[in-house]
Amino acid sequence: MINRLNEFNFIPIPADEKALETARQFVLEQAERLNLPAPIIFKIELALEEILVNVVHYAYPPGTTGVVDVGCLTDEAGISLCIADSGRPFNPLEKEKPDLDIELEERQIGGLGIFLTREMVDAIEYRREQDRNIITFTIRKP
Amino acid sequence: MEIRIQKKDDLLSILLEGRFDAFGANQLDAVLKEALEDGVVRAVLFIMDGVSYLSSAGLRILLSTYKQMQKRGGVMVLSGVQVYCREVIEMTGFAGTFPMVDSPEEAEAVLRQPSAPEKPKPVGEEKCSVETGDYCFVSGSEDSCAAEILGDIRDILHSRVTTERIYSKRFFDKEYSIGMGGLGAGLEDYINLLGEMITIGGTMVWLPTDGHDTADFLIPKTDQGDVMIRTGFNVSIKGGVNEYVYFKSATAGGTPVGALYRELFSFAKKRRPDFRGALGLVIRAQLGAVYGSGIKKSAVTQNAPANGKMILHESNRGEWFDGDTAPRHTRVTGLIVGIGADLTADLSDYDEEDFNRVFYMHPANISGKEEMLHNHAVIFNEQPLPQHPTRLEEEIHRVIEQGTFLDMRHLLDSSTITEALIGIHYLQAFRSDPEGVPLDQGKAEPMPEIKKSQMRYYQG
Repeated sequence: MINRLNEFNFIPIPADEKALETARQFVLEQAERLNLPAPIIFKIELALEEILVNVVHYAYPPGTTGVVDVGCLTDEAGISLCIADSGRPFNPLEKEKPDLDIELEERQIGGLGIFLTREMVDAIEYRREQDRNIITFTIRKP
Repeated sequence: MEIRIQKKDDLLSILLEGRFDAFGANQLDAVLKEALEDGVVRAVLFIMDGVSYLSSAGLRILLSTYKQMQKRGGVMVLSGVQVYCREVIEMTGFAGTFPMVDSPEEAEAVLRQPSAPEKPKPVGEEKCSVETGDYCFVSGSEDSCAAEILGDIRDILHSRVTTERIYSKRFFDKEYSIGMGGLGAGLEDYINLLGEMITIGGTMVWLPTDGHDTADFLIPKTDQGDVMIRTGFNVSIKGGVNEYVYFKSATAGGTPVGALYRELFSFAKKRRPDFRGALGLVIRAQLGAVYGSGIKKSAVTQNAPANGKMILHESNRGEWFDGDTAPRHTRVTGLIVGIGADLTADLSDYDEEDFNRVFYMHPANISGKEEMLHNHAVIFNEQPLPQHPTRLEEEIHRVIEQGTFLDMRHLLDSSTITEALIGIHYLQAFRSDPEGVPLDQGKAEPMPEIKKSQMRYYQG
């Protein structure tokens, strides 16, 4: 999907706590034309939140507000989203999988977000390009 | 998210409505901090009927509340959790930790339990040494597991698979299944090649009956098209592993697979009230000796034995099966999916018809046997085995990544296991697999074509 980025519709959003709601409205509008069933919408929302919240929290130094670009491409196969920032290099896909077996007390809650994302999407890629972190993922129509 | 709280004595009830996302989690975090500050609360009830969405940020709040209650010797209960939210909780492994009930009334029963709060189930470990070897059991999920079936073993045993009796099933990377099937877009690609098949750890392996006796080992790339399995008979094990076992054989050469199943049946009878007579096993094994058998012909109508007997009948067996009399491999690593029925157990809890689709309880098929087993194994060169039972799934993936693929076989019960991580599913039911579709129905929409280029592809 990364090589089709020119076909995506993008909007720039300030990477703050309101970003999620703005991005969500934008993506849901784009998704509307696909007439997707509720479980797929749920997957889209969850993957979007997990990736976006990561960017809002970690991409830019505290006290500064950068911009996150949210892109969307719908076609007969399904929906693809792109989330791009110009913050510090960070590939969430390299995060280790959380160990779901270990005892709760020792369990690190970190990594659950990306774990859930992987469960929701059919494909996901990360690329660092021109000082930007670019994540694209695809959720197919059933 | 709308949050309403009510405090009564030491019970804090929180009614949530809307989206439990990162934003909602922040709101709730502030409310909870204040409500729990005075240290009085010993029970927290989340009423979640109106919550349509839950993300990891929401989970984080639930977990931290749970931990706080644990520290105080208190409880946390979730009531009315809706389907998607429940999936998120299950997917992340919290289902066994957070008590979930259907209504606040039901929650009261849990909350009223005096001073002994519902603790997370300790990972119970139980060690047993018996004649066959040492067994270390660790409890797993409480899922009600089932064997889901497509087609019918009787169609295989009588070689009467027809195009109407072929099913298509989407390949699913978390699936454990065994059966008789093939791959291909057009019927002519596989109908005469149906062979032993297994899916495990995101891979699919089959032994086409093309006369080469060489297994294909395939890792579908999930991001490219859908891979459809065509099958005349397939059993999938549904549900999480109920119990993990580390097994070490008392015999240097290993314990025969048949004897290992008998021992597990015997343990199950003593230890597990939920044992109904059949087990689904996923095994990451060190195999001392592999005795395999492979079907030589596709079990379709035109190949049916002229004498009308089953293909297993001694008059037909030689023509139909390659059965090893000497080990085909020694000292190798195997990934096994197996399903076994204890014929000495009362099997009447199972649906008779569906059970017979897997274990044909015909006198000619079961004579003199105490158990009936189907085990398919993917064979790799020997890989080190950690002795940690719950590492099973992870280990399966490691073997697939790092091992050298050698073979795939239907295991004869005489094959031996020296050491293994075993995942036991105590099967509560045999039923039809709702995911599969008969091929002729599937024709309505064109099947995606499967190309070898869509897969990581190896040949032994």
